[in-house]
Amino acid sequence: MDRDIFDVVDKLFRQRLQLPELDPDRRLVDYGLDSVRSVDLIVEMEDRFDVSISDEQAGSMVTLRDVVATVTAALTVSVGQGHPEK
Amino acid sequence: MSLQLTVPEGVAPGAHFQWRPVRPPRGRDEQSAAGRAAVAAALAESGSTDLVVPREPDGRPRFPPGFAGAIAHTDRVAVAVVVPGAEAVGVDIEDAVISPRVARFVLRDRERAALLRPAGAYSARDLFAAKEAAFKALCSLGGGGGLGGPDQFLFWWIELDQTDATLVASYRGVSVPVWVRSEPRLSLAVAIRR
Repeated sequence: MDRDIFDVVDKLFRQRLQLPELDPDRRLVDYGLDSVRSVDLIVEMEDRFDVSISDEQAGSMVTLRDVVATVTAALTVSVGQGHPEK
Repeated sequence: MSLQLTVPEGVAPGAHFQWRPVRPPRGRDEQSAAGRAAVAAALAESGSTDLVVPREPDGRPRFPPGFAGAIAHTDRVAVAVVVPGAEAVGVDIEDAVISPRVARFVLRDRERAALLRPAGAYSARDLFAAKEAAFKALCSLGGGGGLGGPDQFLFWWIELDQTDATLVASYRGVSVPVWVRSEPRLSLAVAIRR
């Protein structure tokens, strides 16, 4: 798990959920994450990391660890798309 | 903000609505307690002797057989709807501000053009609630929700169309009418599958 991405995502989710800490392996819905905040966080992460999160990726993000993995994968794809000659 | 909304016009008379306030400090426990109280009251009003709604492993409420229902809450109020004999019910109440960016994410171009004010009759919050309510009613088709559930389908994949005065939500050929009641700070949406 990328520590820098984790720190940003963790802080963002803690702020939105108004919680001092989050277990990265606990289901986010167990923290009270509702649909409005879910979508809001998805678009916030897209903007903050300049990535595109697919519906499939959004649906597979159950825990904070999943979110970090998804953002990391999306960043990898984004970098790859930005340098097609490589 | 009023504690509860008037039930949307056109909802079947067999639908039983109950509202309960969320007590301070209005955390998750208090919201769940208000939801349970609303459900018990709605089930009792519907004639059910079973007033407890346990949760499925995925978190969905399991209503007594023959008493389809749904629960929703904000951090201030909970609502439960029970419709005896219905196949499935969905309800949502929203008091959140839906940003234009979130509206673009959740609503298709066609939905924004035809249904959103001023061309249409609805706010982004109304339509968000409508998709959420329809999602709950269509969950038996297999659904997740996004950011927190299995990935069979996501609530924003549901399509909304206007038929006469009623919204119709559909997913993969299955349709459900959705009634919406809107007030300045709160939207209520109800979807009932017969």
